[in-house]
Amino acid sequence: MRMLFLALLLLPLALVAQSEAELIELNAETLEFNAWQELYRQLLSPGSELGLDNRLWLTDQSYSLHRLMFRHQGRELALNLYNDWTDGDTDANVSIRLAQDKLLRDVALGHYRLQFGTGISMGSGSRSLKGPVLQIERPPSPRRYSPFGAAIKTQWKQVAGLLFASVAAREARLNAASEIISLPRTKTGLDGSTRENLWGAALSYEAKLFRLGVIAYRQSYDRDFEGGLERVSTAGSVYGALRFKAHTLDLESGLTNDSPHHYLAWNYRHHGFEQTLSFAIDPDQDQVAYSTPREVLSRDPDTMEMAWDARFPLFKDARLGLRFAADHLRGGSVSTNDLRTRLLASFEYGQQAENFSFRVSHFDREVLSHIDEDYNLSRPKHWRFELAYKDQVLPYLGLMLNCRYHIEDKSSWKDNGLYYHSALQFQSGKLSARLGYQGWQSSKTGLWYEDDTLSAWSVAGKDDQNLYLSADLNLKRLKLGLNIRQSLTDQDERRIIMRLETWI
Amino acid sequence: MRLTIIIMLALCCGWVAAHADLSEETASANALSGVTALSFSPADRILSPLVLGSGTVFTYHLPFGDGDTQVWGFHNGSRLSIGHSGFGVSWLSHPDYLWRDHYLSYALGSRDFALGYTQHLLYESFSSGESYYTWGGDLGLGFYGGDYGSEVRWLRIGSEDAQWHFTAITYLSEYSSIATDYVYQEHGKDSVRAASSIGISDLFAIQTSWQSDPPRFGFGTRLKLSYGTFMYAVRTHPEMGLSHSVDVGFTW
Repeated sequence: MRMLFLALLLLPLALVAQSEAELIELNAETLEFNAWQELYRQLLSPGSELGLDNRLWLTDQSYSLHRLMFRHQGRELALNLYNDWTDGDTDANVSIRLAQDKLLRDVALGHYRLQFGTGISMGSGSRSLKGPVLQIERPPSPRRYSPFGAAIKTQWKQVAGLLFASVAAREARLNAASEIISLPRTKTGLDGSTRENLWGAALSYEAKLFRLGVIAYRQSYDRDFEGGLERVSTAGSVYGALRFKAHTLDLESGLTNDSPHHYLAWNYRHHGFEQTLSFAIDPDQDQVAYSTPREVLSRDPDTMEMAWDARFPLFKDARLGLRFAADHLRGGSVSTNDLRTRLLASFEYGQQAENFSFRVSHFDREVLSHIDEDYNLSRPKHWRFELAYKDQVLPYLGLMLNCRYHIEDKSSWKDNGLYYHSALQFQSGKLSARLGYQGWQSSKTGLWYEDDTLSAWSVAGKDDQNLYLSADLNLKRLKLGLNIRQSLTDQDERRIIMRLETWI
Repeated sequence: MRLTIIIMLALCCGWVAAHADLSEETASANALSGVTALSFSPADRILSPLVLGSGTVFTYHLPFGDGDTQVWGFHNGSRLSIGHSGFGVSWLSHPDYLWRDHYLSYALGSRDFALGYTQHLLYESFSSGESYYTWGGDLGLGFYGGDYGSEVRWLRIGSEDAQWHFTAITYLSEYSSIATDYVYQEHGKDSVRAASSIGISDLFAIQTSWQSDPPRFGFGTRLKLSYGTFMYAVRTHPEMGLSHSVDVGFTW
């Protein structure tokens, strides 16, 4: 349900909000966080003080999202309420902020997120390196856990300080001895729970050419962990950044208990060309509750990752992007020390009326399966080819196409899937509408030996196609939206989304 | 022009024809027996990368009057700053068989010349649980000049259903034209087809066609009102029922 929620609501926004191409499998939390920040920006239009957004999904498992945001002279209240109509679960988060241009610069009460430096020790979910060293952020989805308490940021000239404290109840997967097996980062409906305490402080100094920062915090739970994780974590991190002409160097190093984490990045920009070379060793993501993993390929604390991101201007209105990352297990044996990689290569061409992009992605992803009381680790290779095209053929009519072909290549079989989406977009005054077709299907194919004979097999996987119609009416202080989707393979399968946004 | 003459001579040789396997489910393809050189419907991009019409077309096809089998389609074509693009999908639904043809097409074209390619990804699944993907391509080259034109199309390249189409076109007036088409199949019987598109005015047109073995006749009418187009077509078969097609489009 969480992935469905993310995909239906947030992915379109995430794709708009993100500046770099990302893979949702490897970056779901980052994409979700960025999408929520975009939702906050959309909720309050300039000149408004109160924004309300209500969305209702009517499906087999209906749910709704209600959001309120009030802002007046630096004071801000944000309330998000998620209601699952099937299970009756309600999740909410609330954020009260006071921002002013004084020594006491920013105060947050309720739910919040923090960002320090590169985020590797304390992060909001976004991988951005832009912005101040110390930041208080609004919380993402109420389905996702965030610190709950208070955070205070002070600033005097270039020196900023941050104090924060949080006490939050979290779901926990417990064993028979009531020890914590794992802590989900989103609300999943587990019976077990634990109390999470978090408090700490940070300091930063930001000059024109360089930035420095230091953070220390303590995180604890009221239950012990099963296995090697610590009930109490003490984390510290030092951040430094140097900006000189076209070059930027970011470095953050620290310790979580006795485990080190490091992130080093060099960014270079020149006439539209930009590249970032980075090296990362993450802290154990199971040990720290709110950090932004700098590694994209693995959550294993014993890996280290190198990445190269580059963007090239080709010719007029055309750009090429290349992103490559590779990690390997530190201290592994020769047999286990093979590389995992991720490659994103994208070509974009865009004019005012026409936009075209093509992207090829490759990544390795381990899949752990439990077969016959044994855990089997298989490492499929994923290839993905994506094409997006948009053409404003008439002033009031646009054509859209998105298609994606995915190959999951295992040693003994392939799982190929296709997603296809094409639509017509109408725009006339305050009314906009979209009529489209979506289809996706997958087919597993492979070879097997039987009686010394090589035979081919194939099995149909997921398969659906639907037509949808969505319409939005934008009035001065009101926005009404309706989206109806009807499956073409199952007549009883349909979904309706209703949306009402108001601004005062 | 020389190519046109060569093709006309070849057609006059009277090669034996047979039937073709490619689905010709759009109304204009049904009426014209797949002789897309006379078509301006963007939906016919599924059969020819040389159809450069701009618009959106929804298609419905009832093959051989069989109520269990229906083919639907959603097709788009657009003129770009450089060249022409087309994309779409058609899907066949049957209780025991499912078939979807997704395609992307690009062509460079002018009044005298056209060169295009279409990439198809065909998905088939069966009630037995099996499913398959098949990649295929269409390549087309056309020359047009004065009252005559010619096209060569190589359809579903690399597949068992691959076809070569050699077409000669004569433009009778602004709205009317006729064409003959020789279809060569490596894994099937060849066929000859003839088609006409007679425009009564820019609002109304009648399209007819014939193909050899199996002998089939196609007939269709097209109504164009402002940006909107509506077309209905029917096609015979010596042993099976009538095939009906309806296209509803918006062209620009």
